[in-house]
Amino acid sequence: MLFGDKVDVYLQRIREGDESSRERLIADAKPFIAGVVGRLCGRSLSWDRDDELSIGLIAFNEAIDRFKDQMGVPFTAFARMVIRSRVTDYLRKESRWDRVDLHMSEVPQESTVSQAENNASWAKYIKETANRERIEEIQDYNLKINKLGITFQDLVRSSPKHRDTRETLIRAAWYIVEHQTLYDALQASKRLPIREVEMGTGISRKVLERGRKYIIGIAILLYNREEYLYLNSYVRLPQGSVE
Amino acid sequence: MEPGRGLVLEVNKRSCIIITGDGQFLEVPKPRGGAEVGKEITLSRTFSLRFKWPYMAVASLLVAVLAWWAFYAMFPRAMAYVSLDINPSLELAINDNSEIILARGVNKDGRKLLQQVDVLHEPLAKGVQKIITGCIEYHYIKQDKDNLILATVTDAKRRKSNTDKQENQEIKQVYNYVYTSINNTINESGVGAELIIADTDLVTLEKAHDTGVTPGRYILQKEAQKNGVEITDQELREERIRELEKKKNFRAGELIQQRMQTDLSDKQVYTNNSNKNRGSVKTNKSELYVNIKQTEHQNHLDKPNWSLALSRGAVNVNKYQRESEPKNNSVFYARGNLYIPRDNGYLTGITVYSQLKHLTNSNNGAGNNLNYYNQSYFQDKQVVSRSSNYSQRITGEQQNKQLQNTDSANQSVNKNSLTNNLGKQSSTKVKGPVVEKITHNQQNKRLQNADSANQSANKNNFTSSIDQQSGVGVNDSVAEKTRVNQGFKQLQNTGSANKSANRNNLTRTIEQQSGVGVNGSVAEKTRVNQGFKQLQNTGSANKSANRNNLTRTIEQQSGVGVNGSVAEKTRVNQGFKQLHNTGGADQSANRNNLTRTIEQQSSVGVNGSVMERTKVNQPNLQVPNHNSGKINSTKTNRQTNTSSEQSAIRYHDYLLQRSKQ
Repeated sequence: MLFGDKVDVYLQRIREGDESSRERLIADAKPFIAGVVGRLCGRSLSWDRDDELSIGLIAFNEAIDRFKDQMGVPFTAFARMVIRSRVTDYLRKESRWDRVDLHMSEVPQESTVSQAENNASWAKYIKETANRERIEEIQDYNLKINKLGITFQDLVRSSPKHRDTRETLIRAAWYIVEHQTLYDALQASKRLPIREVEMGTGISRKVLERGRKYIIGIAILLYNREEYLYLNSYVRLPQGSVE
Repeated sequence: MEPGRGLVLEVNKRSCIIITGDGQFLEVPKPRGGAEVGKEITLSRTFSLRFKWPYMAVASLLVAVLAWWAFYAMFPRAMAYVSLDINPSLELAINDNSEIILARGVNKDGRKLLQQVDVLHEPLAKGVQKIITGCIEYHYIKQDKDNLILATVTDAKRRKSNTDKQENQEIKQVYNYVYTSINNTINESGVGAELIIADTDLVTLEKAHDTGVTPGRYILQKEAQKNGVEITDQELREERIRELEKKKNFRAGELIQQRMQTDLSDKQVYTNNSNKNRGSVKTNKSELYVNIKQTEHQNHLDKPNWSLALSRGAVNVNKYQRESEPKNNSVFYARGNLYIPRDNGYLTGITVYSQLKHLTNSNNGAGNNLNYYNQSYFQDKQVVSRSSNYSQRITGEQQNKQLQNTDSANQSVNKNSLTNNLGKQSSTKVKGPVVEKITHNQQNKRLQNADSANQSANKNNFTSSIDQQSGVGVNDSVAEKTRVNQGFKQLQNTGSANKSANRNNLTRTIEQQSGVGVNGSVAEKTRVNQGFKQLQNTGSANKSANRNNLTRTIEQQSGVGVNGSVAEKTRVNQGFKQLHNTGGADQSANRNNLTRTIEQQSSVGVNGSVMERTKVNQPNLQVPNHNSGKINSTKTNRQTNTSSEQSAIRYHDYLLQRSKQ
């Protein structure tokens, strides 16, 4: 599972020349790549069968090399951008026989585009894409919590000010995320399965009830951690037990 | 990610909701620049969660009141203002403890001087001394010129001059400091200067400020006017006083009512302050050797010349009394007061009796040329010296002083301190003026600089040796040198010399292999440079070498000649960039092949048209331009994509094999 500080550690090691870290990172990222490519293609894909996945894999590898911390984009989001653009190119090419464009004259006269301009446009592209994706992510998150009857205002109100309390509630959220049945139950009933969480984590009922909305909010954030890349990289939450 | 920052989730009218790096949801006031969803903002305070206006108002009011109180209670208030016109014109504000709390350059030179000399928070005496020393150092006061120092003292509590009112003791003290420290410094340095000190009031000060000059110059203008000499404001601001004197034919010293003659000779001021009120002053009488060397001052036959005493640090006092009328060959006594400034700015007053012998020089024949033998006494009538062997005495004194001041000796060398003693280390003579000390200091500085010069010399050598290694000759073009320099800088950063050498060699190799001649155009060199930079970034030397080879290969294979056009080179560069970005060496090789293949396939020659080159360039722009779409529909691109597809499959297979293992 691709999450949190682990990625940064891997990237650092790769930069230092540890190629085995690269392989481990790529192996860890396979579900993530499959998710990104799958969402793009709109169907479930198989590693044995679909070229899109290997394009995505190569794109991910490319992203490892191209990524720089200064970009202001979390690595996972950057990798997603690269994968998406590579796979999109691939898909477009696949369908080339459908719409052959014979207008050669429309090839833009960009022979004088300098290296610097090229780099600048690339940086700008990343920035704009990141901004757009970040906003989309927040809107999507807002929608998801709204479905369970929670607003950002509610989260502000139930957000504990003490770090200890917050960490306890985040632990509860992780417990839900790691147990698919509990998460499904939450989605279905729109209510926190307090008894199960209490049993599983040993956190008192009172604490859970008080931070009910916060737990749900965080659980949704964590559950969609492969989708909410910006939020999850911005908010460095304590990690769950599975990872 | 840090505390105090947050990602904006929702923006309302006055506030916005953020999530912080540690998982808190907060509602905070909207920052001034506005907030947008998805943007990161900085919180003014980490704790202010829900802002409550009444509390804020009370708090801010409290802060304002506190600030107001602090301003008035703690802001130093001026007790007096001292202005100096040398020509730098300066103004100093003095607090109750005679410390300089504000120093302002009234004209350009004044501002310049204050940048060099820091007098803020110094005691007045020391500050003035520093300024005068600075003026000598920067040649505002010149050795061979007739210098004029015009100083004023303004009592900040007195709006209008009032002669009836008893003058403030503290203001007297200020005069005392100004006079002694200027006089002392000037005498010590051996330059000649006329010193005028006048006193002013606040009204004059304000008027002077309106004109943009010091009170001293303002008084001069007013006094000159009284005597029928007109000085315009412009002249007053810009001309030196000495030049004005010549131009308008007046003497500033005569015009301005000085208080020195009357007040400073007031013995009480000094003795009381220095001995009784200020108990800290130690009067070591044996320290003062008044040696009087009489010169032919016909007008002052009956006055001892105090010049030597002055040069020893004593302050001249005009009060002088003959005790008996001089007659031919008769001995008579004279009495005067001498004041010796102390390090701490205080004065010690001593009465000196001089025994003068009035002789007729019979050899002269005329009988009107007189010589004086002078003897000095202390208050206890002890004969201190005779003029015949004064120099010997001075030596003795010098030793004494050294003994006394051994502690401060080290410091004085560096600090040019007020005392006229000199430590052994500075090995400057006793009579040496301030200038000499400064020279010495400068030498020290030069030594220091020489040290660094050596270092830089080393560095230069290093550079030049590299130049030689890299085979860049003296006559090579600037561009080339720049390149080597850059190379060197980067070398420096890499650390060990061996490594550097290796890298350097690599660069050279590239250039040779890539066939860039000495006469190659600038563009060419740029290309090689970029190549090198990228090499550096790759890290280990082996890798670099590999990449380097790759670059070379590309260039050779792509057949770019020395005279190739700029556009072509750009293309090759981009090719290389791609290589660089793709990562592993295996892949790079593949890609490299691809690039080569493309070029061969597209048969872009040296003379290839712009159109063709554009096509080859397209794959590089895929990512940024993937939205524009149409670019990718040319024939060349299909070829590229097909080959990349093949390589993709290869890589996939490779990964599959790895994962199976």
